[in-house]
Amino acid sequence: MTTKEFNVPSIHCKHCVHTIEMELGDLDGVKSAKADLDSKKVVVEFDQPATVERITDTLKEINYPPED
Amino acid sequence: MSETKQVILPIKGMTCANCVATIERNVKKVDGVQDTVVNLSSEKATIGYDANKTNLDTVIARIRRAGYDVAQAEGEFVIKRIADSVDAQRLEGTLKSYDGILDVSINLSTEKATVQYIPTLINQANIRDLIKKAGFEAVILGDEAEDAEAEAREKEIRKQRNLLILGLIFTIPLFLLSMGRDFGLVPAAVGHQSWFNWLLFALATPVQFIVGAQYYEGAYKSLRNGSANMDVLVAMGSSVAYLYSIPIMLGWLGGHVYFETAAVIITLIRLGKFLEARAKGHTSDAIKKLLNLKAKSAHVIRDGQEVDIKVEEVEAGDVVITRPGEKIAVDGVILDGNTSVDESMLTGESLPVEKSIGDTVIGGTLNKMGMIRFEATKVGKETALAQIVKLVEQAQGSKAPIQKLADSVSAVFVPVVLALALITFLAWYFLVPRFAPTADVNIFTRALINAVSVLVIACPCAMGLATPTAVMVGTGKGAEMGILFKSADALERAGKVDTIVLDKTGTITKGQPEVRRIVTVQKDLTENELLRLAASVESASEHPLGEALVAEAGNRAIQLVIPEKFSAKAGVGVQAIIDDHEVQVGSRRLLDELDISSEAIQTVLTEIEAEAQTAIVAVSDGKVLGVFGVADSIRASSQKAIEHLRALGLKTIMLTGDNAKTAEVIAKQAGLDQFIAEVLPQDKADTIKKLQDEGKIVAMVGDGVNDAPALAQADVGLAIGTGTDVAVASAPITLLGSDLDGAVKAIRLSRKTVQKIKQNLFWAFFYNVILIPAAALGYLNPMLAASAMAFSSVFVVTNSLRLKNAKIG
Repeated sequence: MTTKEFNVPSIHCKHCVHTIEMELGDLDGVKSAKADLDSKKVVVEFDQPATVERITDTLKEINYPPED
Repeated sequence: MSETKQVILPIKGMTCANCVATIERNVKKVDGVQDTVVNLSSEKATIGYDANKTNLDTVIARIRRAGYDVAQAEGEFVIKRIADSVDAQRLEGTLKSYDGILDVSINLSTEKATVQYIPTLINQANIRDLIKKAGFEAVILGDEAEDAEAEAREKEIRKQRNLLILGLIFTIPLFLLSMGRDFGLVPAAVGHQSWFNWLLFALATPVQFIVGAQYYEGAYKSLRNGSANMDVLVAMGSSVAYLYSIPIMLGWLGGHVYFETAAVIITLIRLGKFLEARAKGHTSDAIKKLLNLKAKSAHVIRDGQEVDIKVEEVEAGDVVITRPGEKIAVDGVILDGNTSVDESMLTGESLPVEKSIGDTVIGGTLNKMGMIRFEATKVGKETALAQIVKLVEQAQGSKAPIQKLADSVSAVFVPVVLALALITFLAWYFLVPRFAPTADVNIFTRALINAVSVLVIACPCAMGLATPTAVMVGTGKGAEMGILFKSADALERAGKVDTIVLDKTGTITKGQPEVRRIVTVQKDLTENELLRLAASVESASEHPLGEALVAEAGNRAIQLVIPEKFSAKAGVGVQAIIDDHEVQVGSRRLLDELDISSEAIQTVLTEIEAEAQTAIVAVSDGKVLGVFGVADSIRASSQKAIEHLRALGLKTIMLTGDNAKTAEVIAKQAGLDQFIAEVLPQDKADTIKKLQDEGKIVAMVGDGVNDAPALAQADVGLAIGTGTDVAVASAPITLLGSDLDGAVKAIRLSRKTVQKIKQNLFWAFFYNVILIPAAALGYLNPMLAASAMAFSSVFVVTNSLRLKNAKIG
């Protein structure tokens, strides 16, 4: 099980949090996704077949691109 | 072949362009949706979908899952010509099948249907038409329609009564003559004349077709729509007896005529319905009582002059004058004068409440000794009284879980009964004569009569009434005592709890903490100076402990400074810049956060806490300035209430953010079983969840506004002390007033009501279940069956009414 933290500065409201958590949670292999409105960080726990790339792609797709 | 439908849905909760994208993306994912366009400024989503692949409910569910909602409106309709719960369920099902109608709930006792619908897809006029198509009549409830409704009810009761009288006028002689002939009281010469039967026929016919017309109509509507309700049973039962008797009267068949059977069935059922309608009127007594509390007129100042106007004409902002002994007209805030007000009719608290400038007054309460002028803040539908009435009505209209069970039984009941009646007939006609032949009985007649008895005894009306009537009386009684149940569900669940969690501040205690001790740590720092600094910071905070400091400063006439750069951290404390110094004020935790430790300070803290006070430290520039000891006294009523709660078998637990020592002392004083201390506000809900995970059914009593999440987490949340801002408190139960005893009463009332419901269901069911076999076996003739039936309905309603007299304490 891998845990990765993403920085998503475009999070600006509770809807965003809900959307991100839901969309990531729907991904195959993602065990949990928690987004924080204050810190703008998203912590994802995942396993195969989910990959950092897939998660990043999804985040980009829903308009919440992660930044380093 | 695809059936494309396009709908426009009003969406709630959208805040930005991202939301638009989210919704569009999510809805498109639904199989069958062809296109989706969401408009942020109009807040509408235009969705095209293939009706063969998906439906509106799925789309709406998807939208909700994405975190948004579809705007819905609620309409209340009074439905006429609903006979029993079979009709109600049929109507609910029919309406729900239409796109745009989200939910329907029909209450048989109030004869009202509450419909949740999407305003862009369907409107109230449409709904009324749909109801008509299903065979019923609907009247929309509006503002003045409430009086119209009462009038309509009266008319209906009068019509029922007149039909009943008509029925009795014909049926009684019919019955006497018939029985008379059977028992030989009528001379045989007269009894055997053919005109005697014609006489019976003449008496029975008006009953059959005038008094009984309603059943034929109802039966036709029901059958036409594919279901069978009690009208079908009554119509069939009486018709069989009546029609069969005609050829006998004409001499084509031999045997007994059964005209009196048909007439008695119809009249007795009519009697039952009439008594039922009368009793139903009583179940809404509580609401009538509340409505009577409303004042009729008010003295208002207009153009500098005092005028008397109708209370409906008072506007928000008007200055209202109330003299001693008068009713307060509307909700308001006192401008000048002081007085004491009797609020017992709303809150149940018998002691008058002192009111002076700045205090709120509630429309409908009684002003006692003083004269006051107040500014009207809420009038008409927004007054506390109006909101309470609306809440109680909604609760009375809601469905208790236990009722849903009864409803599903009733739905299959009638068809099963029809089948049973048929079996009864066949058995008596074919089987019985083979095994127990009796020569002197007309086999066909006997089989027929027994089948009719089965039809008549099996009416499901008592079952449909069992729960709603008890719920109505229960919620009404609660409202009279200042306990507002938001739904029948809350009413049912309250009695099931085994654990009750009480928030400390404001619930067990008065919620008005006072400074009891001041200890300065720094030399050259006076008490007053310490107080000035700390209270200045707290002046920007809304925390009750902070308010205690400010109050004490006020008592000592200390001038406070406006704090700059104020910030607060929940559970820890507050800080601000006072006189260019950074000052922090907070609980023990503040010391932990600032990493300050000192033996001397700890000693002071422990001392203070041992006295059951909460320690508040003040720190500046890294050094502790001093410590305050703040305590909140326990309400006198709380101790008694806690005793009662324990007597009811509940485990009593106190929840507080205070430190453990203080909590322990208070818990002991109040007589609680357990206490959980040092709980941060945001963790209160989790604490409740932990208890629930242990398998406990938890009730929570707390402030409606501040403890909302915890109240929502609890199995039953009781909001107390929120004053009369009833709309704000969204907990399942609101206790008006601040007496913890309200919780005790709520639980007692809930238990008694559930008991009543079970009694009612038992009787209704038992009756039918025991007597159906009796009827099938021939022990019950149709007339006895009809009277037993009428009796069971009346019994259920009357039993529910007895709840009014129950001792709740």
